[in-house]
Amino acid sequence: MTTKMNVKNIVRNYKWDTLFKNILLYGFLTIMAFIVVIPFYWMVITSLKTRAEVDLFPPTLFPAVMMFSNFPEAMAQADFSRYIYNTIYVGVISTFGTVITTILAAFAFARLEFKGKALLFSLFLATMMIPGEMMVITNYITVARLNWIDTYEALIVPFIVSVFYIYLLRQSFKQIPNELYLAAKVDGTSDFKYLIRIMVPIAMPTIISITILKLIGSWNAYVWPNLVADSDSMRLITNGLRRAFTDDYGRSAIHLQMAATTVVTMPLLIVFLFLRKYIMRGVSRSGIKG
Amino acid sequence: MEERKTMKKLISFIILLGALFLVAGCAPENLKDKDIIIPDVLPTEEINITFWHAMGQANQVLIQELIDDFQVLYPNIKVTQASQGGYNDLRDKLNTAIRAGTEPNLAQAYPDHVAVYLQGNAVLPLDEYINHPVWGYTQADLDDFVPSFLAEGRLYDEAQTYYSLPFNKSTEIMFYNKTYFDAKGLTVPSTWAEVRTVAQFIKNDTGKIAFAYDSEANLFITLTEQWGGAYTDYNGNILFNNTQSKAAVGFFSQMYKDGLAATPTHFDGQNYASDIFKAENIYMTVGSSAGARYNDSTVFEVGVAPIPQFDGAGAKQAVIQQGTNVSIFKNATDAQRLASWLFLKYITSTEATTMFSSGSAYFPVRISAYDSAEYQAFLAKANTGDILARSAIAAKAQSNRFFTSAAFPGSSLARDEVQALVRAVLYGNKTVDQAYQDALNELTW
Repeated sequence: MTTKMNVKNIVRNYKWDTLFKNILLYGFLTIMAFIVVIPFYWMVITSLKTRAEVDLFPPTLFPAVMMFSNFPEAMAQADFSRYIYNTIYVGVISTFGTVITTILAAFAFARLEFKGKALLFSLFLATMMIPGEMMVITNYITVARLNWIDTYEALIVPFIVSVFYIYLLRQSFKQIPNELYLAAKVDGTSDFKYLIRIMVPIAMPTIISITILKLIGSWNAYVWPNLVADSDSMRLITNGLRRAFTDDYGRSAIHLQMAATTVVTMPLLIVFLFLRKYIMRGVSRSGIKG
Repeated sequence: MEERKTMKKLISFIILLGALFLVAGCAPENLKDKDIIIPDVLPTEEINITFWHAMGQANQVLIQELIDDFQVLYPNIKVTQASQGGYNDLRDKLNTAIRAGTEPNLAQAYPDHVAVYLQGNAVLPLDEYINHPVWGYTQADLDDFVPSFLAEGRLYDEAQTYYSLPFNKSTEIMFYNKTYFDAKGLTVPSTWAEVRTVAQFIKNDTGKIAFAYDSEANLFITLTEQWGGAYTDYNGNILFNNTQSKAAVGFFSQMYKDGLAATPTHFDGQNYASDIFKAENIYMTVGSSAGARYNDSTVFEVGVAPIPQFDGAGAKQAVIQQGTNVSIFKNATDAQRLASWLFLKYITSTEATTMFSSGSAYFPVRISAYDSAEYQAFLAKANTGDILARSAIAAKAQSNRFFTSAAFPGSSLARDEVQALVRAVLYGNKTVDQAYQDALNELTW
């Protein structure tokens, strides 16, 4: 009798426990979801407001009049198709370059034996301690001396080597057992063939992660492209969005800016929906570095 | 085997060395220390020059028109314009470019920007061009510039060397609710004492604050000048700790305490008073003529007048002169320098400044432009309520009161500090003396 009561009690307690835990968990998740969604929501409603409504205080949570005309008006402010083209071009080429250099370097550091390997690798890692912002001016001067200012080279070449990704892929390569390499060697395979046929397929998930992270980073780049692109035809979408709506009095047409931002965010959103699985894996694999 | 290794090492060393030379060897020569030689005949080969500015979309169209007209006169000079964002973006990019030797040929610049560029010895002195027998100006040309605009280009050294010519100039003007003023039979105030009286009437009538001054920094600098006080000098000395300046700030602070005047900060921390003005929550506002369009209302008629002046003891008639000038950079060939000078000369000509000012919120830099038929036709639009034309008329009426505060590499810091000072007095419950002391401590340590 008493045991039966006890079991009942335990079951009831357990039920209450899970319920309480779930309320806490989902409450927390809901709040977090709101925090993530609000900037997007704000962007979309701002893009549908009139100029006067944007300036209202307190701000309105939903546009009084839906201004769909903001979208064509915003797109007419600058040559956004050109900016998008530039962004995609720079993104694809620099990602392609990064993947190539990363695979080759990671292979060398993971598999090959050569003098000064440890020293060279620590030197590589040491450069990660220096914040990128500190190198902006020296990089700019280098690029200027190569006469690359205002060209695609300036936007692409400095970014086709990434120490962080080399490190990431090297760790991945290191996990591949030595026996595979030795067996391949016995069969008379060259290092390069081994890399392409065996290592790259095995490390594919990491390489895909690198590709996606690199593309996102390139899409979001702001400071450097702003510095080296002087003319309108070399501008990337980030810089274009920032400046196309500012008048010379220093005020921004925020409603139009948000309309254009909504339009150019859509491709990324769609990419994310399709590649969500890989992106999430990539981000968790690389720790907090997004 | 050993030999092969040495060979390999040698080859990689040579490749490395080669790469180093590639970078070093490509370095274009920085021409900024080359003597200024002005050719008497413009070279006939194609000359490419670039002009960096911070203009918005609408004005870029006008600049392109100027370029097209210029290229009809000089077909072998190709001018490329490039907007670099806002004025601060432009300054930051130029500072980086000067260090790398990739500066453009011409750029829009505020005086304090030029002061910084001059530290890098990057700006071309214009005197030899201005006085050149073939390419220069006559005395009549120089006299035709609005004197205070021209003077702004030569306030950098004792010798008064020209480092820029005026391009897009603006000032502060007062917008008022003409419909309301007419209905109540009010006269537009021209002195601060009158502003008080009118504001008191409006407060009694509507219960609202009547007056707002857009820029707190300009409020400080302009009122200090009007009250006869000093602000800063060309060497960067901070001089505003004087009784006149304190009296000026004290006066405005008293108006705020009496509920008669404020700055946009008072209204939920806004940056500009234009929206409050259009919502009829204030009835007078002093703001930049460049932003006149923002003060235009479809609900009531907007009047534009010169800004109020101080009429007490020691008063000086003063209104701040704003907008940028255009400078030429040294790092270029003789032909490019000359081409840049010709372009600068063109965009400051009567014809060009008339065109530019009739289509934008800026004022002509030439006196003769005001008399041109085209500009008169533009001004005539004031009768039908065109706010740009009304602003231009109000600005012209106070053009003999223009002043510029001294420019030196830290002058924007001084501006930031006096803006904080005004906010501290109005909204931070600090006494005037305390706020001045705090600002001085920040600026002179």
